[in-house]
Amino acid sequence: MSALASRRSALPRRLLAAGLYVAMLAWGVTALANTSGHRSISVLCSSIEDLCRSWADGFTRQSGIDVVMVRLSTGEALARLSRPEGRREFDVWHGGPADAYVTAAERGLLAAYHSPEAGAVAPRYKDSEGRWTGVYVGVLGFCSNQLVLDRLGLAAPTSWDDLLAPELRHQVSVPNPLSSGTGYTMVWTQRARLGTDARALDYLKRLDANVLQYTNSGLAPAGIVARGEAAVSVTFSQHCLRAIDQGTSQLVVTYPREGTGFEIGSVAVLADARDPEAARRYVDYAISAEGQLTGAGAWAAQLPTRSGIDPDPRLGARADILDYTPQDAAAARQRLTDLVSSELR
Amino acid sequence: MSGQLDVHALSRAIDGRTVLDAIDLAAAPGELVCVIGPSGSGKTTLLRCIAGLEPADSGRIEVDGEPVSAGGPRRTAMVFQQDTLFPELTVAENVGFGLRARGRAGADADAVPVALLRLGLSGMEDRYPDELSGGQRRRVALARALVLHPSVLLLDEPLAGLDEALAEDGLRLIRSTQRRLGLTTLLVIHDQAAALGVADRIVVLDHGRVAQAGRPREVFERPDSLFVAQFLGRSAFLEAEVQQVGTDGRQGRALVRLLGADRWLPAHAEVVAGEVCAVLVRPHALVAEAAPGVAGAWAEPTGAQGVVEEARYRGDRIEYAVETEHGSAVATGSLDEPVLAVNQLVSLALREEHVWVLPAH
Amino acid sequence: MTPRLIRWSIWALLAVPAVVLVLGLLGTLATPAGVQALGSVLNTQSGLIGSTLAYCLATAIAGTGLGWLLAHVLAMYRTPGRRVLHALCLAPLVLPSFTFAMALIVLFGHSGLVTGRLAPGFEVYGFGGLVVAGTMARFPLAYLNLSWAYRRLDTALLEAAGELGASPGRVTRRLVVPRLGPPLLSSFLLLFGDAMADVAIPLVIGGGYPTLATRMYEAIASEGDLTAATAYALLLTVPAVVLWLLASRLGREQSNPIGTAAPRPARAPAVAGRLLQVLAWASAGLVLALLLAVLAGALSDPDGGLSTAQVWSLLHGPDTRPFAMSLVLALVAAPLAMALAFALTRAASDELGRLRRARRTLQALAALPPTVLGLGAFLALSATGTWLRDAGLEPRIVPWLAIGAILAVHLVRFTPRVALPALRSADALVPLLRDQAVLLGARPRDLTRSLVWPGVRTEIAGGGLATFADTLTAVSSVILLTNAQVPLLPVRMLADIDAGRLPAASAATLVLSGAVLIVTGVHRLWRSDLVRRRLTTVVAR
Repeated sequence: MSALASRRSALPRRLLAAGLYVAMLAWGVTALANTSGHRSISVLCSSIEDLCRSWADGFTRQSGIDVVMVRLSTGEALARLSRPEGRREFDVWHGGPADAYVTAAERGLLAAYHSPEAGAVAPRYKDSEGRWTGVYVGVLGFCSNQLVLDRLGLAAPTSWDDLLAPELRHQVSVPNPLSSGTGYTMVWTQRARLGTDARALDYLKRLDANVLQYTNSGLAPAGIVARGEAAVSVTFSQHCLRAIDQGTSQLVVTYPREGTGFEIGSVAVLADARDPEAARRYVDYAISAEGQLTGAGAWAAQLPTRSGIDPDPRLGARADILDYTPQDAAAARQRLTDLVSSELR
Repeated sequence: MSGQLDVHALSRAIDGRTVLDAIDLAAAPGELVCVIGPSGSGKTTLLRCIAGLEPADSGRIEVDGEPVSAGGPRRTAMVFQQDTLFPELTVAENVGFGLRARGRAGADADAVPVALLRLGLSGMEDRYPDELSGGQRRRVALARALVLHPSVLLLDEPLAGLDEALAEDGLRLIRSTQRRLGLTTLLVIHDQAAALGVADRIVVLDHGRVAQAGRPREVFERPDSLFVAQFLGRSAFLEAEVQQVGTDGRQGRALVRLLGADRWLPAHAEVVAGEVCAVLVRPHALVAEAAPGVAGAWAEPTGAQGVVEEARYRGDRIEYAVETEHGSAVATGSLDEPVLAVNQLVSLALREEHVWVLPAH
Repeated sequence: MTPRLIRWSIWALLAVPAVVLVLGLLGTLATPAGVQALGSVLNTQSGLIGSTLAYCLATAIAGTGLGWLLAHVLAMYRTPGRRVLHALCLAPLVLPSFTFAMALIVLFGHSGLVTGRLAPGFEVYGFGGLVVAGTMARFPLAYLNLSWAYRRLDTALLEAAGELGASPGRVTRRLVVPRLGPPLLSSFLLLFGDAMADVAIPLVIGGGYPTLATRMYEAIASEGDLTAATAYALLLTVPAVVLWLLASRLGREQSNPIGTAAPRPARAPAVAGRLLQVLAWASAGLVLALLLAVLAGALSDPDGGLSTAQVWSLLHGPDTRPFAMSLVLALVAAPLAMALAFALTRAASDELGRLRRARRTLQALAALPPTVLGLGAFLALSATGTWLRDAGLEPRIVPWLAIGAILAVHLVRFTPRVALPALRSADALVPLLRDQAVLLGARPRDLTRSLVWPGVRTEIAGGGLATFADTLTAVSSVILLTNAQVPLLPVRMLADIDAGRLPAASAATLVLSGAVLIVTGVHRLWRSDLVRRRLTTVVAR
């Protein structure tokens, strides 16, 4: 008889339990519903998350269209877009070096669109058929933590070979060439300056001994160096400047004297965009002065591609940039990535 | 629902081996029948057949005239030797299981609390079997069976593994409950002394056959065979020759020269004159007293004399293993006399009505 | 609908996704390209196999050892604060697997809180840190296994030996250790298999240490090379299945862990025992320190002060989507798994032979590595997406397909884990109990309902809770299935950690573990009648 009684008294507790569960479910479903509402586009962003977000916010403020921003490093983005179910997932690809866009264009993933804003962009910074347009330029450089360097007794590197110093064992942070556009740019830069695949691979192998971890994204190395986890990183200088401006004053930007690579950060409407019209508006915004200036002031800007905008003088416009086109880099991509993936870890 | 149990010529073989061999057994309503026998004599199988768990190869089992087989609600309830309380259910749920299964939970709503109260389990309704002691678990199992008001209750060694005090209490509980409810009960039990004390009738099984069935006193004092004589209680057999057989009107008798005298002793019907017999002498039938004279180490006792081989103090009595001219036996001694020593000569007195003459085959 | 048809439909619900997932894998592998990929992987990546084995071996040994240490100390000695110790041992079960890797970096990284000040130059990345992080993440599995084994030790026997004059050390060596052989071995195998499927921890703290699982992930995510990925997956699956089958033969499934009470021994320890106690407390201290590091990270703001902004932003505002999605999926997956397990148990438990077969099938299913399941689901999803596109059908359905794929992976993975203890409980209905029940008037087909359900219900409820915790924090199995419309918080955490945003990842950990604690509370409330009972003793019968 008390078994029955205890069952009765269990009822209010069970109701409470069920209520809690249902409440959690309801909250979750509501939250999901709220975040997937009115007109929106999906933007695949291969640049810094903060920058991606400010681009998204800027566009939404200007046009009223929601932006679902997903950040993937260049290699991952390219892989995603190359897969059938990934194609209709996004409307726009924004950020990441042009050589990846060249490859994407060759695979038919990009839609041709000559934006009226693209008139202000020099021809070498955009695709002749309008499939992609450059919106910033980044110069590959070294971002180093002065405090850590002092501890190791080294000066900031000014040469690619400086990175091979034995004191820098496990102190170099470098992006993963397979997944990151920055990483691939670094690999391509070695090839471009050393002349042959073999010599480039040789350098990379020696560098490998000093590498702490190959990060997934191109901008992570700057963060790692900023935290002091590594002494030197190879990354586009704007990421380093961004960290400096955010307060990490012990960072210092240097460039290799043998010459360095660069990226043309681009934007493109995707061929299978669900909302091509909104996508085009986004591209217009990205190429516009307002889009390119986004992040100026609060964060480090990037070298613009438009004429008529003054760049931040620290951004390495005076560095020794190797002479190659995105198409060169794109053509070698498959070969070099295969080489890297089989020879390095 | 009076509870008459009739078993006719029940036979069962398992894997080619005969386990039960033409068993005849009857239990009157309200009777407590104890089934005893050595291990492997078929006691558990007998119970299982009566319960309907195992099919009989031949023979009939009837409760109140109705055959026990498939179909219809069972009128028997069985408590197994092993612990079969359902581990996932509380005590109350265990006890009420049969009622719920038969759809009588509502009508007999009080049955469970009453049964628990009767067996001293009040307050344990919400406990789980693994929280109970062994003795408590047995009582729950019993309550579970009783609550169904069966016509016949079958108990398979319900006291196995309990220490003496608990077993005694348990047996008393079974007996009193059974009497109060007038419940025909078949009790398989190992402890013969307990069986003798509590049963209305005793059935002795041997290799699947009924060796003897009857009232406890009858089976104990007038066993039908050497096997039954040896199986129940302590026994000693003295060899002698039967001179004559006869009867006194109620009881067969045999004239036997035993312990120095010719005596007309109670005898089994199959005792034949001129043949050697075995005289069943239990300790209480033989009394030893000190005799004059000292026996030497190799003295042969003659007549009504015996030589003490061993003295055993039993607390409430003293027993002596004695050597007589007919063989060894156990005799009782007086606690008021000094203890008899080994090799001492004793005179033996026979309480003739308490011995039993059996054929010596 | 005949019972037979019902049974087959229930099995189909589980079997169809499983078959689809496995077929996706085999289909890709059975092509010439697939075979070639497999060949090239075996030839060029033998070092990879070796390094994977090294990691798995080290983690399994360390994890089993740590689990044994804690189980032994808690079971054999009167230890102060044993409830805290027990809770700390269970903590990793409610957290994403890479939480400790993250915390190790916070504390011992190059600029970590500890090493930054005390031991600069200390290298936590690489094999060492990887093994520590892996051990911390999975030792609870061994702990629970061994704890259960200790509980089943016959304490009367041990006490008798003690009274006969054997020293505590002797009793331990001669009586306790031999009985622990099988559970130790099965724990080792369990941990080994778990480490093989691990994607997240090597990514976070491995320092580039190559493992089969991470390579498989990279093959898809970075290179888009499906055939290579399936080759890696095959290399992962075969040993994993062998391991699990070995392990399940050795140890019996125990009842579900969450909700077990701390052990309650009576003895005070001798010298050796005290040493073990100290070691146990040290390990627990490490766990605690790691947890505190995570907590600190979650509540910090960039200026070094205290702020709940990180945590709050996950619960409110545009950034709640990953958490909301993860939460809803977990809240849906757990009851689904429970329902399916319930139906399976019911369908199987009428007949003993069926029960055994069901258990074996489920054990085989449970052996599939989650990473491989995820890959299979991903391949199926890709194929479906292509088919839809070619057929010109509306691809707005794709996010729902992804959700379905995630749920299918969770179901295939966790239904066996919920059902197996329940089936074991059903199997405990020995023939004698059946006889007794039938004698009491139960119909044979009612036996399961009236006798087995109470215990089975307990197992399923516990299993549901464990499923919720695991699906909420799952990474390896779903890392390939998440996308723009279907973001998942644990996967997002990986990206955060990679980008150096440790506070954001810590805040996510806090939020996830909070959700698990709330659902644990729900479970407690629901099964309040069981708070008194010791769950595991029932299964021990």
